[in-house]
Amino acid sequence: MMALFDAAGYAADPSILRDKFGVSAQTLEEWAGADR
Amino acid sequence: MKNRKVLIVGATGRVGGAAVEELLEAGLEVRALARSAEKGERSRKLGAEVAVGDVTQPRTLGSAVQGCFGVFSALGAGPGRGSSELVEYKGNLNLLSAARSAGVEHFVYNSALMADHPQAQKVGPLREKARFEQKLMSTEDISTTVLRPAMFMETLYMMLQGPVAFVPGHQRHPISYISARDIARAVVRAFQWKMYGRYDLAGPETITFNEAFERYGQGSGKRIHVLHVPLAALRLPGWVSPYV
Repeated sequence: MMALFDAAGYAADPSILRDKFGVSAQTLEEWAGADR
Repeated sequence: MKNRKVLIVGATGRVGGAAVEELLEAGLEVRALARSAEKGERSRKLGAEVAVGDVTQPRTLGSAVQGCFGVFSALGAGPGRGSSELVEYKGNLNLLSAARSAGVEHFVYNSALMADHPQAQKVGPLREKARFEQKLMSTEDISTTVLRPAMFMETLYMMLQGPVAFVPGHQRHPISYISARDIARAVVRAFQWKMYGRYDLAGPETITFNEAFERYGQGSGKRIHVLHVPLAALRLPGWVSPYV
């Protein structure tokens, strides 16, 4: 998978989770902070 | 929704485990499929019913799906769990067949972003996920949802060895991240709101690995150094990575 990421990235539209599913997703900082 | 029971397959994994918690929290009934009662113990303690079975053994699945309106598959191949083809493709086909026979209404599948990308076909788990997605989406007698999450935030842990993050390749392209917990929340919505179809799922940030580890460091209060290593290093003996 790393080769795929390196060649093509791995990006998706964040609005689907937020707007269609109504999920207010964690940021990386929030997620890492919750694990402290 | 009269019948509120969902069978979760892959309940001992990151996404499946979070789904057990989130579905129970949302007031749904959960039955977790586990390969042994011991492996199902965590789900049982959370309040789920446990069915012992194995997706590679079709005869064990009939009673597991019986009485459920929904199935959530977060199956993943891995050490001790069989090959990608056996688990991700054939195992899910067995599960789908059992679900259809039992009259399950809704099958939600946790796939992966870009599973059908040409370059992803060299990666066994992605290739088999794409194969199963195709089968699932062409099945007409059961409602289906395919969730295609971006990279799990939890994977960042696995790239860390002490204060150093080993990143194979230059990785100049941006990556989207999502936590297992947020995927599980989307699974709840898929069942509650009857959301059918195929959806890419990502959290709010699409950034490079270097930026991701910087934010991880800020959030965790740890100082992290990113070291890029050649992609070929993934094939060296002793290298442990989920991203071969």
